[in-house]
Amino acid sequence: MLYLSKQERIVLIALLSFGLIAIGARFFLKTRQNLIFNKQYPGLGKDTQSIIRKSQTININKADMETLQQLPGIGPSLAKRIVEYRRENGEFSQIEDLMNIKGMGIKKFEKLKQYVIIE
Amino acid sequence: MISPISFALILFCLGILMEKFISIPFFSLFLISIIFLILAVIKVDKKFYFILFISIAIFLFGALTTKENNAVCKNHFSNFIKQGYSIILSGVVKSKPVLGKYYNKTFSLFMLKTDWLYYNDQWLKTTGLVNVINYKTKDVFDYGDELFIKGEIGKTKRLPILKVKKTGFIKLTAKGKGNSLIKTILIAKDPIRKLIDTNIARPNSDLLAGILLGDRHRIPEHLNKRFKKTGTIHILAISGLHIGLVASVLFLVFSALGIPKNINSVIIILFLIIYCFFTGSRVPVVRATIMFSLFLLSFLLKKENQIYNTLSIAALIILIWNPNQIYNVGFQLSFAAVFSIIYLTPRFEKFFKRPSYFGRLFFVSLSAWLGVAPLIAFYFKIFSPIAILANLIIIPLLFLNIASGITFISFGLMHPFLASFFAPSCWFFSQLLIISTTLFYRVPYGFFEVPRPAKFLVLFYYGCLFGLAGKNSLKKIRKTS
Repeated sequence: MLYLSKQERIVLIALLSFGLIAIGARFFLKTRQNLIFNKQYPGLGKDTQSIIRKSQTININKADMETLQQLPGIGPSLAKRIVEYRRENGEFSQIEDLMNIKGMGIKKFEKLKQYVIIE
Repeated sequence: MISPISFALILFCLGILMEKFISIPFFSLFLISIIFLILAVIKVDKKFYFILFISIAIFLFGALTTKENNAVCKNHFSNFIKQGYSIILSGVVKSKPVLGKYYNKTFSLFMLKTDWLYYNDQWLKTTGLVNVINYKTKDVFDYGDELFIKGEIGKTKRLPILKVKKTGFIKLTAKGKGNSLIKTILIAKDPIRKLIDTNIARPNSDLLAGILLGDRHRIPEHLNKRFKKTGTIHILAISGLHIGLVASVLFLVFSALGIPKNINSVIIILFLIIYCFFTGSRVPVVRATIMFSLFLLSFLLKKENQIYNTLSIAALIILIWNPNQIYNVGFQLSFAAVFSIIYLTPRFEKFFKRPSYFGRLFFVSLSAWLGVAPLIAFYFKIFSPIAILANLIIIPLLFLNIASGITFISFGLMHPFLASFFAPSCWFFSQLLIISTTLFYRVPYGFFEVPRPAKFLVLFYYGCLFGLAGKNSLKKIRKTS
């Protein structure tokens, strides 16, 4: 800065101007971008929706304690009771059987029934 | 010593720091910098006013670059996720997956560039990177693979983490989506890894893979600890020192082959760029590659190489690219080390009047230690005076490891016999490295665990160091004017 000739000063001004314009443009593009939504995932075939639907439900006859805790309203103790119930009474024949377990009220069942399947 | 570039770097850094403490909207800041730039144009003939206005413009440019860098895109993936929630997304693998172990669970870790996110029953086009920890290690993926993943968002301070556990899934939807040049370079690593593993016993093979290929995750924890405590951990991360040593090994080989110096420099620059990709193009490697390429370019263009200029340009390029690097420990350590080596070593040499070769080496080690010791104490709570002595032995050993490693790989790839012929020398030097580090680690009172020093003390120390350098340069300026 201290020893710059006039030519060097002009080059510095030009470089800084380009830098400022680039930063301004980048900021503008970053913050003004529109959100793009797609109904179908472009990369996968027809099975996408079934994979997603399957991944969002849990088979209560096969799930372990860790998996059961993914369900809304189910903590470690309730997950343990579900596993114990399954061990003592065999596999669930219908999802409503969950309500036989201590701590599983109607409200809790209503919340999680859409995420539960029996296979 | 304060060259225009160093001066600009200081102003730019101050701008970055200001952005952290004072919040001014981007467009106001942008407008003010344009005004100062116009004022600098008007006063281009008046030295004092020009310096004043352009300095303010550079300072504001630093703050603006930081603001722009920290601004999150509207469609950035992190805007639509919450810690602990499960998400479904697709993206492309951007790094070579590495295997790790956590409480007896093996996982593979890789970086994914997000593409589409399943959000509110629709697919949303997104940007941004996420670190994926895949516990389903049966599936092996590679750079450039397009994946369809369900995982859980984990806790992190930096990049978001996506954990693919039992309840998640990971499916390959396409291959070869990445940059083909990077892919070729990454694929080239596999035969070298195999060559090292089949010819050299562990843990020496792990150490060599870490030193030569940047596979630092492979270095056993007990070795890592010894290097850390003796202040020599920097040799395990590929950084300026490695790049310098690799460049000097190549320079010696090409000179011995009779290749003219100019062509030699061009080949080394190209090699360093490839080596940078080869080792995963992490920030320290990029930084060192920029610095050494600038050194070699100045040699090529027959320009007088001013070391402070080269250092400042490298720092400026890195900070313009990512201003948050200023808070990175690695960035601070390597620039503090290089700065104190180039500033303090000549002064020690002058004070002790022409020391011997070993004396000079000692002063380089001492200068580097003086430059990084407060930072190491601050970040790692370790004070290791043994580092001065340890580096004197470890760095030449590292050079021998790199030289023997390059020879082993170059010949070993030609024929298995040559590989088995050169492998023992590699094993020997890496064993020497392990033994010496272990010996230094066992020296009583070689290192101490200390409480974290106060921030203002560390700042005061570096303020004095830079202030001393600035004072000397001002004296020089007065003399010349």
